[in-house]
Amino acid sequence: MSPIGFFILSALLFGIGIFGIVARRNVISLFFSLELILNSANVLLVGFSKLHQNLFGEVFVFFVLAVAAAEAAVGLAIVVALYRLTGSVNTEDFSRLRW
Amino acid sequence: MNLNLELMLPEGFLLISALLMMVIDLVISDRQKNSFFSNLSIVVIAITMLLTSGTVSMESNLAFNGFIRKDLMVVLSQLLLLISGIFAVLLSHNYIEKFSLKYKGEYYYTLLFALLGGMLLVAANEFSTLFVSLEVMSISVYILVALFKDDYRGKEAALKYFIMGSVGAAILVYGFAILYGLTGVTTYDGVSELVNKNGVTLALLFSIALVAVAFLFKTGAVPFHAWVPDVYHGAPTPVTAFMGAVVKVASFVAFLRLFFPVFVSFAKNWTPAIELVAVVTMFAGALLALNQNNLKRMLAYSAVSHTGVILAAFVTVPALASFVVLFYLFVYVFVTLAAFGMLSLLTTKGLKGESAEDWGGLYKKSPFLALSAVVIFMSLAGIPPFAGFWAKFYLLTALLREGFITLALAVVLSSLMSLYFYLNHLSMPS
Repeated sequence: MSPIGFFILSALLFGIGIFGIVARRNVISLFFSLELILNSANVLLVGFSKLHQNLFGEVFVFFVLAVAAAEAAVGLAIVVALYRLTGSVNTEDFSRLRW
Repeated sequence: MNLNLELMLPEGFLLISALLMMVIDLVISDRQKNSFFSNLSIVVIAITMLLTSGTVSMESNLAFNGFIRKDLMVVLSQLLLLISGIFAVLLSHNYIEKFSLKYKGEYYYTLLFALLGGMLLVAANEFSTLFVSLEVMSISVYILVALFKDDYRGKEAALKYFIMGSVGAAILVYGFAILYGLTGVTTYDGVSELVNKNGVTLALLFSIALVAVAFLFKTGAVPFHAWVPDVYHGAPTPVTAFMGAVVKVASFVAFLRLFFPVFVSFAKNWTPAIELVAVVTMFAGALLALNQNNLKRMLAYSAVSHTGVILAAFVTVPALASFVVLFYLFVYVFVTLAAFGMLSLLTTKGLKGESAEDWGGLYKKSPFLALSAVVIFMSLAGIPPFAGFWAKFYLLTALLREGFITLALAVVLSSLMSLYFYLNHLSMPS
């Protein structure tokens, strides 16, 4: 089986993720988009791992997964803390830091 | 293939001490925590520095089957990171005394974890090591920024930093995935060998662009600088000092160590882009700082401008670039720590000190602080007898020697522009 399907899937996920980061204003949606970008890289790594017949890529995926989980935990903690202070999860409400 | 675990002794010591601090945190009474943990952190960092100096050697050694490389540049930048860690702990002590912080133990060991991430980041010699250590450092800094109680500014800064930093990291992984696909290996040595053999392709240039974008995010160069002023402004001042020193040094050294061994053979394909980003960054930082009233934001924009100047050094040949960048970072770290340290001191003494008006009449209140402000700002601007001048001097010499005359002129012009706002802040009427 050729790995071309992996590449197309990965490019699609990457595009959707970048679009979400740019277009969305809800912090939770931003987190979803972030995970999409990270996972698009994972799909690509797995595909290339299959192509090259070695395991470097697959091992890299495990590290990326672990880091993504830690990142999501810290990010959600920050959002919860902000929600307690402001009662909002919309990025447009978080713009008091100016001048 | 060998592990060479003795080379990893400093990092191992730092990791184990930070983990032990998590346990000690449970048994110590809250009143003693601040002074106990700040003293302990300083002792731990000092011992780590001693152990790191023990690993100095003129040749480069590999550890963990080539995943970590330790040479002179790595050890020197690790020592620089540790010194800035000590200063950050010293600043934090008074700041925590003054402002309420529920999680004192957590603050100090998170700071040590961030230092560990930075130390591994500069030593990384493989893609997944680089990524994981970058994230260890960044995630710890996100926590530090958000940790202070009832501090809305810190939380907002942490969210902004988190989103920008994570997007940068995700783009970095995507670039690494493409590089892995092109070569089939993930160590720097293997990738550079195969990349040289296969020649320049579009996919390779695309992956380099992604990796460079990720590093430009981290260092705060211009198209990706929007988070810098907000985060530097919102973060607690000791954490800002830590970010300005440790995160910047670690990212720049990692950037240099990734691009020079791996992509140096086709440097002429990517140096024009770096050159352009450098020039735009130094002018944008200097221009945006011109009418900033808040001192922390002004220093943040000056940090952006300095990022541009350091990036300019990347276009000189490998040997010169590593020397010039490392020396510039060496000077920059101390000046940044001094600048934010002074702000932190002024805030804890109740002098406010963040907006420019508070500075009027500082000389009458505290002549010593006012004089140090003059020294720090003149050094940041690069006025002759101070350290900042010598950093810029070596950088300009390197640029002129390699024939980048327009770039050297741009550095001089942007320095002159930044001199205006440094002097403007010093001449506040009382």
